[in-house]
Amino acid sequence: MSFRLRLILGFLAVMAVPLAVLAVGVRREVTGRLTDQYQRRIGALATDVGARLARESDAIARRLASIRTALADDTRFRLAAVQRVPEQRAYLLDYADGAMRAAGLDYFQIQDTEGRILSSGQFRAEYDRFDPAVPDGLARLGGAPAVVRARAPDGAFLVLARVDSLRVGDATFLLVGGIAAPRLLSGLTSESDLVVALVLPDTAVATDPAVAAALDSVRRAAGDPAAGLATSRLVERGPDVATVDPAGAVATGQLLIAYPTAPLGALLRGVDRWFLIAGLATTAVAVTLAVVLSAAASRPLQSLAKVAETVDLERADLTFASSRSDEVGVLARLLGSMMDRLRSDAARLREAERRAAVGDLARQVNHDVKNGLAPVRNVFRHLDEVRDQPEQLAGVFRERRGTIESGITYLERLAGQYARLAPTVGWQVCDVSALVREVAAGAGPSVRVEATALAPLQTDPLALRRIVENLVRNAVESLGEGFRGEVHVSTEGTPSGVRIRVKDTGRGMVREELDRAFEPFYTTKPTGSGLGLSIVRRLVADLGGTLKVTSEPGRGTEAIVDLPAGKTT
Amino acid sequence: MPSRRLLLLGLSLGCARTPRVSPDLEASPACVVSEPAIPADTVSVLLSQPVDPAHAPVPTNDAEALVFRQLYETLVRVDCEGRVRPGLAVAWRKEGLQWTFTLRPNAASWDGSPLDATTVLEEWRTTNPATAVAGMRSEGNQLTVFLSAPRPLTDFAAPALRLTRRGPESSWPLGTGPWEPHPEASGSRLVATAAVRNVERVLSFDSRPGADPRDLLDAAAHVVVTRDRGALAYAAGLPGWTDLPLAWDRVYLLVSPTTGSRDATARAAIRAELARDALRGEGRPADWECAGASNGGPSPGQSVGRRRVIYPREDVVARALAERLVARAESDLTALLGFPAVLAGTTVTAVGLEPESFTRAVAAREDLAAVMPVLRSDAADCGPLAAPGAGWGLVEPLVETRAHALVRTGAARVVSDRDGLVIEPAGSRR
Repeated sequence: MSFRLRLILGFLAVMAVPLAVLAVGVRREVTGRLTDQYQRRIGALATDVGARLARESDAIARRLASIRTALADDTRFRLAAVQRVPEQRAYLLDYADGAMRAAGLDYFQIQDTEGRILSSGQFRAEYDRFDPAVPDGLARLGGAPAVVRARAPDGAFLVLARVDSLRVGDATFLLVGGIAAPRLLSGLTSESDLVVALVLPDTAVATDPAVAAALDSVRRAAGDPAAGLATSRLVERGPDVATVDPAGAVATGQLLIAYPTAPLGALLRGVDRWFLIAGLATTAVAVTLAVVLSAAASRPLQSLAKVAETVDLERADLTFASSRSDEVGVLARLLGSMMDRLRSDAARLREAERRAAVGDLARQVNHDVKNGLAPVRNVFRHLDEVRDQPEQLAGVFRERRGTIESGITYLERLAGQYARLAPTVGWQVCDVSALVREVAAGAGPSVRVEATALAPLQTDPLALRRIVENLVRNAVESLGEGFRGEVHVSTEGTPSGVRIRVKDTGRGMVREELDRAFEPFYTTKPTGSGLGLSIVRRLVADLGGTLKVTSEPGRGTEAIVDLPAGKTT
Repeated sequence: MPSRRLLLLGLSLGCARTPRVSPDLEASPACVVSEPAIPADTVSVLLSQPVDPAHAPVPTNDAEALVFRQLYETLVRVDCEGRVRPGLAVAWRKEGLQWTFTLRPNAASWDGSPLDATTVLEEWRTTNPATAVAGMRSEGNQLTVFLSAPRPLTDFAAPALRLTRRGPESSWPLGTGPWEPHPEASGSRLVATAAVRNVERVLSFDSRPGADPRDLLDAAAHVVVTRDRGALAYAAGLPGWTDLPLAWDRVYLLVSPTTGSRDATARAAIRAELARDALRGEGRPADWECAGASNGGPSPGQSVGRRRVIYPREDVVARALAERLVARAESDLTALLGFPAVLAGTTVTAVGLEPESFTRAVAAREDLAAVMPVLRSDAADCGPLAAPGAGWGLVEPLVETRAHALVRTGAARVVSDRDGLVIEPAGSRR
């Protein structure tokens, strides 16, 4: 698991989990409190509905009493209803309509004691029909109101009705009046969201038709109406209401007050929505912070790793400089210190190598010189044997002169060879690119130069020439007979100095050859001295630079010389 | 409309009255409602119903009946006492099944085009191809009508036989009456003018549908036609107004796809009760039987669609009748429909429908019954309603009603004809 992923998960855990806990807690608290508030409010409304129902009932009674008073003084009514004067019959038939409208009732009819309808407000044409059941049922309730089913031309409707009576002469008339159930129910509350429903044994009405249909369905299934509504609404039971069916039977209806839970649900959905938004925002912030912080933390580490990736004994000049004061700075400084030790160890290693090489060389020189001096010593020993025989001395000298000359020549040649190993550093201002172009120009047509203009470099031009000459000659010679292929020589500036790159497309070297390429006198060429790369490495080290050789059999070899700019003028 | 007028022509020629042969040129004094000494130049008529020129010349309501009566002429008129008086024809004679009319000299349409017997014949052939007429002939200003059966002269005063011609511009058909609609007359206000001895007289109709007729009486009206009992009572208490009962012109029928009752006594009792108590306005039991009814419909006990008694919503009389029948569904309606099984265990309702809906519902015959008003002359023999194949098992005339003309005394000379009120332009008395 990456550091970044760990950081993201960590941030999420730290930020999202507390938020989720907070959301659940707040939601539960809000739900509980709001439900309690709604329930208390509906309870209060139910009480209010009961009071309003009582007031409506009283109002019906007062209106019937007013009509009764007016009828008692109405001569035309007396003529029509008591004396049955035909000319006043129309007045009687139309009377209930006008009285009902004037009294603000939805249902009003005048009946005689036998139940015959003398005048009907809601259904004028109903006159002379016998309907004793409703007034009888209402009378059995002792004047209390009851819900009855009133007839109308276009169908029946429910009313909350009361009955009053009027005595004119010897005749008694019943006044039955009321308010239509829908108007009554809608008048029982001023809350638009509140649904008032009336559930009777044979039907259900409500201020909301959907609620009425649901209640009717529950009623048909013989279920509990309040429970039937509880799934979608908060329900409170109101006062019981008596009802009289068309046959005059008295039963009890149920008044329900229901409040939709939809607003509460909407409120909770709103809370959920905002918590979800907060969660998403928190997640986004956590991820962003984790990415930014992980990037801030890993970028310097990656830089250090990138530098460390290139560290080897040939690149001991690399640094891990950092001005940071945090752990990364500490690590950089530790790595820098490690590089200092590595450089020191590399120098000691090179010195040990150099000393070993010098020792080898001294032994080789000793061996070679001894080998070269041995014939000479033999000649001189021969000459010494005949020093007292002048006649033979000249002959021996002539005979052995060739041996002496051969030894001397060998030694001279040997001296010449070893002379090339002698380090002589003379620091001068040098144009590296010009030097490279000059060397390459005399190396043959297969050499191609790409030397850019560089700042003058303080170095040893002679050593640098020897470096370049050796590398170019090795590269040209690697091309073999006919010089097929090419040698590419280039210079370029680097942050630390100058880089010289010599690359050929020659035969290349296998790993073993490459490992031994820097050993003195190791050569794969018949005429090679075996000292080329050894001298080059020493010269480069003398100039404070590094040499890196890579090779691939059949594809060529590349030598890279990096010279420091420490002495740049 | 031609088919409707064809029907009406056929119906109007089917009444059985004794014809008068010689014309009475002067209206009976009993028929003169108002005879002012100094008539007003402008007579204002306020209407509580809409007037549609497209219905001309056959009216569909009281307002159109009054307006069309002033604009269009028939060959003859019939006054309030049943006497035939000149109309477009000034003389007539009968020879067997042949009536010959002499048209008014110099008769012309409102656009000035002359009108002779040939013109009348062509117009009738175009718009009134009467089936009751065996043939027609024109010669000069004499028009001869050959009948297939004896017909009274009064049948030629039917609204369907008013002479109209289609004009090129006005929405009103061209007529020959003394009052000519103003060319720009439209909407609820119609102004008709008549030039009498080079003096222009104005007859103004202002239609205010739905208005309380008492409000019209309170306005500056000279003539108001109404059936409203309250308005008549109100007018009776106002000085200067004359209440003129018009002809019993409207019959309310109960039609049903069920087979009707044969109990004439019970039906007569129901009619009487309906006319006496059910109506809030003036009414009387229908005095004729609908021959040919009970000729179809389902057999007893058969289901008959919706348990509704429908009626035109705006017609208060139809509503009162329908509601009364519903209120007494177990007795009166059952008695009229002929068998109780139709209503057993059901609730019958009265439902008022808009005119178009009512027409569609009646045509569909999916309701238990319908209460529908028809013009008295149109329903003389129940028309096609009771015809075999019409689909009605019951066509029962219930009650008849009539309108009243309330005329402000002294505004114009107003004469009562059998088919309505005639407002004569001042100074035009012949």
